[in-house]
Amino acid sequence: MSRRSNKIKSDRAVNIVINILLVILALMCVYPLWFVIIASLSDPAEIALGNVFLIPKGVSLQAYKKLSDYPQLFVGYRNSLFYLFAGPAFTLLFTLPAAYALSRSKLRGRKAWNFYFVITMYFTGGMIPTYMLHSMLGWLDTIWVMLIPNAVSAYYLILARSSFSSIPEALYESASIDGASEFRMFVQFAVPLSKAMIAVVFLFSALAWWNEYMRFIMYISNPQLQSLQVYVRQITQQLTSTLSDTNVSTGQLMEAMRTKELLKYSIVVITALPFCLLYPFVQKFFNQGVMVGAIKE
Amino acid sequence: MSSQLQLMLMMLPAIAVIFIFHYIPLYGLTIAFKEVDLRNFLFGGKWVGLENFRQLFSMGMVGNIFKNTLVISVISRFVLWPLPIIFALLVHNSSSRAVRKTTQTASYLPHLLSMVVVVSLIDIFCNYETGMLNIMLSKLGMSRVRFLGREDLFLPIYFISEVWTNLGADAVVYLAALSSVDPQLLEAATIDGAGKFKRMWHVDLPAIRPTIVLLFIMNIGSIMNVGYEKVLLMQNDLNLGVSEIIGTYVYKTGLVGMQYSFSTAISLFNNVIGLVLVVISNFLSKRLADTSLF
Repeated sequence: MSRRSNKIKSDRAVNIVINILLVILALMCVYPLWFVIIASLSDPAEIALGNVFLIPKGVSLQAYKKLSDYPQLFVGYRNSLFYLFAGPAFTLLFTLPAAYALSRSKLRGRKAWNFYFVITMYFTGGMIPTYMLHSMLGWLDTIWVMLIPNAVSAYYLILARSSFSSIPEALYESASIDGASEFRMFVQFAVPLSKAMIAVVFLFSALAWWNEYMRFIMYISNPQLQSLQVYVRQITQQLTSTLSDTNVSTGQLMEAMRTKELLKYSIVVITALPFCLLYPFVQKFFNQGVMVGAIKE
Repeated sequence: MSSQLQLMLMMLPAIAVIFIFHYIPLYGLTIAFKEVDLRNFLFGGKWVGLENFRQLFSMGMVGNIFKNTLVISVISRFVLWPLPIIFALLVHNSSSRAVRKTTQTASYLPHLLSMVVVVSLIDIFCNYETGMLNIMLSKLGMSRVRFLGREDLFLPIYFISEVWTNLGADAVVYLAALSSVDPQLLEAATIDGAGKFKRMWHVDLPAIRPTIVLLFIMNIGSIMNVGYEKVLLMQNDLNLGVSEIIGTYVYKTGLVGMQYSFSTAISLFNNVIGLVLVVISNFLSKRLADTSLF
């Protein structure tokens, strides 16, 4: 994509302006995260003085050591890791076969079934009826209330169906002449040919699970099953309110304040870093996924 | 087993999940017209007709809640909407591949963060005592600002963080559309003496016009749906006047306050407005862009 703009003199200046602008924007996007990382490695006194700006000052790992004061973070981390894999696994398990079926033009009532699924993107019962349903089913506070209802979404269904649709009908024809069943064709042809789409669904789904908050708040109260995000919220709220309640007078209190603030940084780092580090390696998959979201075929 | 039967079996789990968890709650919206509690919501409950709606409309603050929702929604969809487009144009037209790649990656990163983390970051920067912004302000000898306690600053902070979070991700679609712009048109424009900005305005933009229009109109349809999770996390006692939106109010009255019928009535009312808008926007989309959802 190299542009030959040396025919237009003004372009040289414009290029410099655009590039500088973009670099500034890129830095602005990244800086808040960068700040949290360096602050988590710095001495709280230096931070309070405003000396921490580009690099850590008074490097120490105390922010991370103090995390062990909050064992619920580890419970949350473990649970979120579980959902990170179980959630997308369930999604793929329920969605892929259905998407395959919907992609087969021979399916009777195909238009009707498509409508049946797609309609749910625009109309939902909403928060309250859904909550009441789950309450009635008696499975609040279990992993199933989280995993099963979220296993099917019209969004991933459409994405998968589009991907399966691009598999040539001739392939299926020759396979069925050899006596292959639909199940076999799905497993032996459709899935292996759609590895990219499966990666996209898995990644998007995994990110959504890691970041999920409201559903956990609504349906889970058992501390052993609660997700990381909920604990992060709880703890950072705690840390913030104790800060505004204390009278900023004695040096000791200041010390305690600053240490509490320090924890906010390390908590954010351990929560946000995994996907941020992963992202550059899987960037193209995210781009593909966003595309389908906007252009729903 | 016939292949039709096999295909149906493959769809069965998905059909069941959708039926139970999407269609049944849809029926459950009828509790807006009933008085229910947790035990009898599907099959029982006293029919009270429009009582819940009458209660809704007689509440003074409901107007405020709808107003807050619309303010956030309209500004997001009309004021903030061009930003990803402009950003995409700049990135696409950058002369340096390195700048392009790094900016794209960097701008997408905020999108990976959870709402909880984003709101924590807001606190980390805007907190009165310990926030980075205030520390810098006092270091420069200026007075601190209660960013999080002031109603008039809630919306700016909300929108700035929204842009920060979504700019890179929203631009991806436009970038993809831009990559399919006919290079011959650009060559021709260059030969005719058009500088970069002129090329952006006269070649790039018109080329992606269908994408822009489609996305814009699709957005209008969902104008009543403001994501309530972030607003809920950003709410505090001091900013409720502008931060109480439909979604947060439904959550608080319904799940926390347990007024199931009443909050469902609000939800239903909101959905009906949304439905009307989707239909209108779909109609507009057919007329103006030759594309539509249905």
